[in-house]
Amino acid sequence: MELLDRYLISVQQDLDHSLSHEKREDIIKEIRANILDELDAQTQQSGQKETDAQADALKDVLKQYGHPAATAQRYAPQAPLVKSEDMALYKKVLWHGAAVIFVFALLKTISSMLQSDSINPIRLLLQTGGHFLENIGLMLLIVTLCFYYLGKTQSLAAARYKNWTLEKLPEFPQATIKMSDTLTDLISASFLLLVLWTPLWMSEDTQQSLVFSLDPAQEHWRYILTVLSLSSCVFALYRLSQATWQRWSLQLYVVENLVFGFAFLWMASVENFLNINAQSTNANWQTVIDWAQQQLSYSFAIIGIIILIIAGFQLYRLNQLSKSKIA
Amino acid sequence: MSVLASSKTPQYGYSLRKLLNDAGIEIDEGTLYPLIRRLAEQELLTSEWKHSEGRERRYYRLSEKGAEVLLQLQQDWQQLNKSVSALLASN
Repeated sequence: MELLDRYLISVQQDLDHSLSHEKREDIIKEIRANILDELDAQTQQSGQKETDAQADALKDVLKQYGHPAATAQRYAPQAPLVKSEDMALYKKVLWHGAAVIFVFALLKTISSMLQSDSINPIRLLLQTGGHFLENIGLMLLIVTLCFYYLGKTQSLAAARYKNWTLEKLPEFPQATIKMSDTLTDLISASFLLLVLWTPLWMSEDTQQSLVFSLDPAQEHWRYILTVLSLSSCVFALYRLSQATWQRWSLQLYVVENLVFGFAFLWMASVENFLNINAQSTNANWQTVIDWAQQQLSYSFAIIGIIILIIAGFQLYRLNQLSKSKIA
Repeated sequence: MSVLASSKTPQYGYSLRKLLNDAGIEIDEGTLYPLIRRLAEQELLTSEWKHSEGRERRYYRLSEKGAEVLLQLQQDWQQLNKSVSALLASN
């Protein structure tokens, strides 16, 4: 019976450790009783000597029971970390969490590169990848633990579906929100925030070496653009959780683009919106600075026009969707 | 549960498997024994350890709750059986 003891000890080691000691003992006691009954039945059927027959029969029975871990799992199934009905929601949260972490990693790399002397695309890729990997494991752990502990009491998906009504069906189910577009918006708005608030995170020496700085007379634009960028970030994060456009969200997206578009056009029209920090006694140098100022204005104007074109396209889309709305 | 309901005495794992086999239902021990245990955890069966034939065995009996559930399951089964039989007969 040494073989049976070895098998049962292995099963006990594979039983869920959250079970009480008494319950684990009870399971092992029951498995032992069941195996011994099977053994008796098989020994009686065979015509061999009792000891030989028992040894052979025990091997057969244990083989039929299978791996100790499989037996332990059959008697006391372990609860999965994430319930199968919550799996779709879990994957969605992980996917979107990974997207936000990627944006965070990219911004962290850009901010550190802006402070250094060199901007190297390979370094940008490697550092972004490094920052991403640094945080993705922690995010995976936190999300899984949240699903495990919250899912212990009830299915998260079931709780989410409980308050669903027909009125909550998407108005334009065919108009899906592209994750790539949302991420681009999130990165752009976050980057604008980083650039606007260099005094908060950049060393003084690095700030003084910057080529451009906001003209003191235009300081109010720092706050206007901050409000716009923050709103854009919040709206982009909300869109990450949505699969399709609703009428109001598409309308808000159009308004957001119109506001950004006109803001950039306004900035283009303001003389010396940005100062070019260069000191030189060369007479030709002022001509170069004027030329650069003009190029900056053109750049703002082009950005503004592109954003307005996007707004126009979204407005046209909204119009088309309203016409084709499912009755 | 049906076997336990029809049996007048409590049954242990192997004896239940034998009764099922005799009734023409072959079921693997690795499936049956954990299943009985789960039914007991759901309070559909009651159980107690008894000493018999020189060995301790866990004996199971249908509980009151188990009898109620069995009755419902029987009705469902008969209804389903009737519907499927009618469908098969129409073919």
